[in-house]
Amino acid sequence: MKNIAEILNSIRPEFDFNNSKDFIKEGMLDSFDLITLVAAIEEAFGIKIDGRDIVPENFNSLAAIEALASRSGRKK
Amino acid sequence: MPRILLRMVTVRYLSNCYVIGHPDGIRAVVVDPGSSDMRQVTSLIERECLSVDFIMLTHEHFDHISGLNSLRAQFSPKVVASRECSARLGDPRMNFSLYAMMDGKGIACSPAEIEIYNEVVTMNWEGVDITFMETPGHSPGSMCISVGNLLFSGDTIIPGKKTVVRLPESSRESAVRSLDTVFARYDSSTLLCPGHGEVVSLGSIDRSKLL
Repeated sequence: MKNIAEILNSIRPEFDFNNSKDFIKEGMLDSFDLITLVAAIEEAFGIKIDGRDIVPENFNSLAAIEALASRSGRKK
Repeated sequence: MPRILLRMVTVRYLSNCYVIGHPDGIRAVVVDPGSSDMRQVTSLIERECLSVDFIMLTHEHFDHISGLNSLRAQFSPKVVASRECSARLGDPRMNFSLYAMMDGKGIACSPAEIEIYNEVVTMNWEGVDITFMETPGHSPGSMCISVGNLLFSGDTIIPGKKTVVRLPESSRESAVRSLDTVFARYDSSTLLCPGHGEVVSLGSIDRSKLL
């Protein structure tokens, strides 16, 4: 099973997600990337991310995405 | 002949919204109202005292429907979309507005009043034939629409770009079949009015480079 960092790297391999302060503000994820990312996370972890959680602060860093996945039911 | 009265390019996603005038000079249809700011379109309609008979959607994605609710409220036209598109208009996750707007809400629209589901359907618009052809691939609800010599291809054909089939619910296999159907039906002199980019002749498109 891929982890979230691997999913991000598969979507936008040209970016270094470990050295970004804000994925959204720095333009590393556009709306079509987000669609792919959410679908991939939901499939990988068997969870459903609530639409109300699709806001920038939940996708601006690896930690934020990890926290969102956990809140959405991802098992540790 | 019906003609393009306006091609409005939306600000952020550069999608095309078209206003098409009927030969009678009174009637109009709108294709893909994809901006939350539709003032360019509404100004034209009001200035020319046009009757908006239909809003026609090439597919369900947010950058082609963001102005649908406001135009519907203002002009009460009938909305025409494929059945698959219509079914996704009310779901911000499926029309992708949730991801584009990132406000936790997105855009939800009511279903179309006229749903196309027989692959190819021709409707008479006061003496002008409008043909709707389901062209799934980029999205399940994708449809090409011809009005006279104008062919509105949405994101099925975008000049100089590959057809995007990497999205959830996209299908490369369906896109191949859809493109085969479009290129078999329409000749090279057809004016291609794409969902993004300039209006060009269909003959200028290299079919082999689309996928």
